[in-house]
Amino acid sequence: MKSKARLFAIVIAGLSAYSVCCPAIAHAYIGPGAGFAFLGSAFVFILTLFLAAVTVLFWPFQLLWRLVKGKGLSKNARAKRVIVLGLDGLDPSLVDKYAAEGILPVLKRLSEEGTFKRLRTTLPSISPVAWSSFQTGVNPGAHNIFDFLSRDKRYYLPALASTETSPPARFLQILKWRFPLGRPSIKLLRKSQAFWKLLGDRGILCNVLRVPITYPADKFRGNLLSAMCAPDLKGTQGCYTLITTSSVRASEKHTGGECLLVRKEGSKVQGEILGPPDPFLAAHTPLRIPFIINIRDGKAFLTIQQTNVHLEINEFSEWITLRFRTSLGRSVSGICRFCLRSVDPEFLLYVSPVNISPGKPVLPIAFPSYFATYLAKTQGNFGTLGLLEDTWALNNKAIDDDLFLKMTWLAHEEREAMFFNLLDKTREGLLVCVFDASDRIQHMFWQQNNGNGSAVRKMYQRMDELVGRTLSKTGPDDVLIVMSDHGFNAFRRGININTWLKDEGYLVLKEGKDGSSDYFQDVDWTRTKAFGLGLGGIYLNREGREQLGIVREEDLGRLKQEISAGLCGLIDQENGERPVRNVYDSAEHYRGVYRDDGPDLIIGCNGGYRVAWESVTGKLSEKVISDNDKAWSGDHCIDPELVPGVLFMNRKLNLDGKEPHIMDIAPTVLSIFDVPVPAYMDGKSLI
Amino acid sequence: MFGPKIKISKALLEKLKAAAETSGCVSAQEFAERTLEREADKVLSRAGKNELSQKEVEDIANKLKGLGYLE
Repeated sequence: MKSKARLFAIVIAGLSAYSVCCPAIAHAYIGPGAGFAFLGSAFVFILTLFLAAVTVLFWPFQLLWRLVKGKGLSKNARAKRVIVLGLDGLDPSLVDKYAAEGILPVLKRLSEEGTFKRLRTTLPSISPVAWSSFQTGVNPGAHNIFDFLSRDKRYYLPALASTETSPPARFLQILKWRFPLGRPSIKLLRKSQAFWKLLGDRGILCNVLRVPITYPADKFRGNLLSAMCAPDLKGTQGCYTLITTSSVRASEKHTGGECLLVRKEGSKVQGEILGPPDPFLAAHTPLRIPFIINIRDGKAFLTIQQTNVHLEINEFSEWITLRFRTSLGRSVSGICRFCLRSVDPEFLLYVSPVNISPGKPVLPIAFPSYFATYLAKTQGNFGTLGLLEDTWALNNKAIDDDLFLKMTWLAHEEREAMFFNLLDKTREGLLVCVFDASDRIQHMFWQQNNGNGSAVRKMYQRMDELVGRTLSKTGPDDVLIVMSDHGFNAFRRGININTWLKDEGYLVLKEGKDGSSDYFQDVDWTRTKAFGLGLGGIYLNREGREQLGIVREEDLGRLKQEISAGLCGLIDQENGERPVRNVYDSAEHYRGVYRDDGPDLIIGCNGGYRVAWESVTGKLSEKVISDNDKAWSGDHCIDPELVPGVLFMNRKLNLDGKEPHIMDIAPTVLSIFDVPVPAYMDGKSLI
Repeated sequence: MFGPKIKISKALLEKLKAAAETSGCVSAQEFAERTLEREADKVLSRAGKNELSQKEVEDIANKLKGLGYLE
C-alpha cells in the first residue's frame, strides 16, 4: 500500500512539474492535424490587459518613431482610405445582363461614373489561387498555391494546398494518457507576402476580413480575420451531423458529413454531438456532449449543457456554444447551429459543423488573436469555418434549397456586420472584406435557368445594395474597389482525367485493381507517367521529383504535347462537343521558385464541363465523361479565359485598352498609398 | 526574430540576394528557405518509409472532409 501511495505521489508530482515547466501543456494536439491552444480565460484576460498596458506605455515612443521615420499616410497618397469589397465569383456577363434589366442601379452608375472592366483571373481560375494572387501580386509559381489540393511527392496523396498542420514531434505516454512535449505546427503554405504587410510596415492601418487563404493568420501590423481553409473544431473543412430516427437515411452516404441514428423514447430524443478526439488519450477517443430534445405539443426543446433552446421546424438556431471537456479537465469551445427538420414520423435534426469559437479561438484564425474576440464581443458569435455555407448538406439533401439560402444569408449578414463596423472605424488606411454568398449561391443554383433563376438574380440584387450602402459611407478621399476572383459557368458534365489517362496508357493500375479506390491507392507508380489531381492539374511522374518518378527530363516536352493534344481532341460522345478548350503548360505560364511543385499541365475545360468529382482525389470511374448529378451545378474551374471576374472602381482608370489582371490589384493599392511597388510583383499598378 | 538561425558567409548572402531578385522571391530569406527545403525533401524522400499507415491516410482524408469542391 505504502509503495502504491508513493508511486501515486510521484506520478502526481511529475505531472505537476510537467504542467508548470513544460509550456507545451498549453498547446495540446487535437484532431486530425489541428493543434489547439488551451489558454484559460483568466490567462487570456491577463494577457490582454498586459498587451493593452504595453501599447499605452509605448504609444508616445511609437508616435515619435513614426514622425522620425516618416511612416503613416504619405502626403502624396491619392486617397486616405482604400476599401476593397470582394464579391467572390461575381460574373461580368450576368452583371451586364442584370444591369441592362435595371436591377443593378448602383453597379450601373459605378460603371458609368467610375470604371467597370472584366478582371482577368489566374490559371487555374480557382478561388485559393486567385485570392493568393490578389493578395501577393504574383503568379502561382511565386506564391505556391495552384489548387485547393497539392500532393505529397513521397506518397502521392492529396493534401490541403494552403495549410500544413503537424502534431507535436514527441509525446509522453503514461498508461492511457499521452502528453505533448512540444507545440503543434500550423503553417500557411501561401508564400510571397500579402500587400497589406507592406502597408502595415509603413504604419498604414489595415483591416482584412475573410480573404481566402489567410489561415493560419499571418503576423503583420494590422488586423486580420482568416477565411478559406480555416477548419472546424474537428480539423475538417466542415463536417455536419445529421441526427435521425430513420435507419434508411442513416444508411445513406453522407459525403462531407455524418449521420447518427437515434431512437425516440416517448417524447424524448437523446443523442450526442461528437467533437474532436481527446488530445490526452492515446486511443483518440472523440469528445462528446450529450443533448436531449423534448417534444411537447408539437414543439421541440433542445437541452445541451446549460443551454435550453426552442427549436422551430426549418429554422436555424442562434450559434450555441459547446464546451468539450477533455479527460484532464481542460475544455475547448466551439459553436454550432441546430436546425430541426422534422419531428414526425421521422425525427431529423441538422447540426452544422462545429466552428472554432471566435470568442475563445483555439486555432490561429485571427491576428492578433484577440481580433476575433473583439469582433465577437462587438457583434456576437459568427461562423469562423473557411467554407461556411454547407454545400455538401444540400448535395446530400440533409437540408433543402431554402435552408441553404437561409444559412448563406445568415453568414452574409454576419459578414456585413463586421464589415460595416470596421468601415465606420477605419477612417484612413485599408479595409478589405470578401463576401462568399455570391460564389456559393451560383455553385448551388446555377441549374435554375442557367444562372438566371431567382436565387442567383436576387443575390446579384443584394450585392448591388451592399455596394450602394458602402458607397454611401465613402467620400472624395476614398477609393472603392469592387472585384471578384473569377466568373461562373455551368457544370453539366464531369471529365474523369485519371480514367482518360488510364485508357491512354499514361496511368497504370496495380494487378487486379479497378481504380475505384480513393487517393490513388490502386495506381502502380512504377509504370505510371501522369496523374490528375485537384480541379484541373495533371502531374507528370517525374524522375527526381516524385518518389517513384519514371519520366525523364528529356521526355517531358514530348509527353506534355501528347497529353495536351489527346485531351484537346477528346470528343464527348453524348453530344459531340469538345470538353477541353485548352491545355496549358505550366512551364510557359508560371515563373518563380515554387513552379516545379505545381502541376505540369493545367486543363482549361469548355463551358459546361469540369473535372469529375471522383477524379479530383484520384478515383477512377467507368466512363471518361459523365453527367454531374449534384445540386452543385455551377462552377468556374474551367478555362480562365471563359470566367473573368469583375473590377469596379469609383475612379476612372485609363487602361489604354489593356485588360486588368487580379495580380494588378496589390500594386494598384500600394500605388494609391504612394508605397513603392516591389520589383518581384508580377502585377502592374492600374493608376 | 527568435527562430533558429543558420550562419552563412557574406559572399553567400550576396549571392542569395541576387538569386532572390532574379527568381521573384520577396527576400533572400525566402529564396534560401525554399532552396534548403527542396534539397532536404530530395534527401529525405530517399530515406524513410514508402507507405503511410491506414490511420495516416484517414487523417489526410479527414482534413479534406467537407470541402465543397471535391467528394
